[in-house]
Amino acid sequence: MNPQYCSNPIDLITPNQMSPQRMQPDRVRYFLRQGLLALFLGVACAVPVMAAPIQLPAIVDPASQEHHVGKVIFVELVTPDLAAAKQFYAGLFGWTFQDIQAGGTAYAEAFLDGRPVAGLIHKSLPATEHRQPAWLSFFAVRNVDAVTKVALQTGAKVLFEPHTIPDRGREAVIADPQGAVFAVLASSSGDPPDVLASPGEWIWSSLMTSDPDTGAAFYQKLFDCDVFELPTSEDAQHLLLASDNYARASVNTLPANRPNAHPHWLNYVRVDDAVKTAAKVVALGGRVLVEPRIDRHGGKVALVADPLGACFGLLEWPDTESKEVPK
Amino acid sequence: MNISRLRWLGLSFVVLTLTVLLTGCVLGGGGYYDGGYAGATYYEPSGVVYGGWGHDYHVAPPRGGEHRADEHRPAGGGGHEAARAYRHAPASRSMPSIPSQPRAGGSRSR
Repeated sequence: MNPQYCSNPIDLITPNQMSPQRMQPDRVRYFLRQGLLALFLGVACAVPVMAAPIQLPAIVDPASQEHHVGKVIFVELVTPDLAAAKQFYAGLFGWTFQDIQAGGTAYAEAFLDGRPVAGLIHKSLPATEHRQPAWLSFFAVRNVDAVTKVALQTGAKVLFEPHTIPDRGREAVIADPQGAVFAVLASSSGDPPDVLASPGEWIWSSLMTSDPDTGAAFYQKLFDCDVFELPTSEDAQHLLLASDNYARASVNTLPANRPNAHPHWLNYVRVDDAVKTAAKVVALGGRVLVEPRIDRHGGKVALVADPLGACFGLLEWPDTESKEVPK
Repeated sequence: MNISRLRWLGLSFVVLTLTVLLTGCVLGGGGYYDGGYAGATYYEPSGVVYGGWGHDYHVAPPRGGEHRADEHRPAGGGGHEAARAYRHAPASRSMPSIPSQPRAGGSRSR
């Protein structure tokens, strides 16, 4: 260091020039200052790297001008064991994965026949935290901030403030007035087209809630969707949310024999054979929570969980009219 | 307290404040969500209970055109409808289903 450029007198004095009485505190100060500066520089450099926005693929590629407010256009799973989750879903549905790293976060984009079907994020889950993995549904909206504001005014809680992700769009995570958690997304590349899902793709979503009436009213206010009531033979409601003249999701009363159940959203993957797929779930280390059974559309439905506990449905959708009738 | 010590104290305060603030930006949140990556990371509370569907518990979408339980109720209120929190679709509308057309080649989508 050239002494003529030093402004601090301490820098101008070499340790040999110091008196024994002064050398010790000056050295301590010198090293303290250097240490603090190093700490600050380290944090300042690390923060931008850690907080760097993850670069996620667009929802639709190439971008479209389609918008289908109220439709589930994306699902994400946060899991404490990304490798195990990838192995399970690859074995079950034939999904392939593209790993994306950003800011120390491992993200895997899942594909089926070259089409992206889901996002999987690794996040450690300490045993002391009483949490479990879950698939998060993303509903298409045009304006995330406006929808978030309406949700707040209607008794919901915003759990993740509106936030823009490059190439993906703007999103927010909300807990509805009954506590079911979902996300809204204004995709910057437009919404996927309204086509029949292929086996291995998400085909349906349902809300299990303590108050279907209020739940349906909430989502109707958010998405300006139509609400239809389906006939039920039990003391339970089965409502339908629709937009663009398509059914988008159902709203169901929580099962009566689960008094402590918490309102939640469920997503369903289309399968060719629910019985065989449920057996495969078990073979791959998952669990069957509701055995395959005929539903009102004439196909079978089952409820399963992956090896880490994330729950999802299996739904047969026969191409032709109903083959079986619910008993 | 001499000037040198005051300067040190000031510098330490600034560095520590910045460190706390910047670290908070990265690690803030907690609970279900955090900003460790640019999106939301969501873990459900372990109290969520799945299953328990009774024999007639139906969740699947209809095929379309089925009977509506609300088709005889007047739209916009009145009678039993007054008890509903939502606004049911006009009775003239038939029960919709999910999209049925197959995927065309071209755009990739989720």
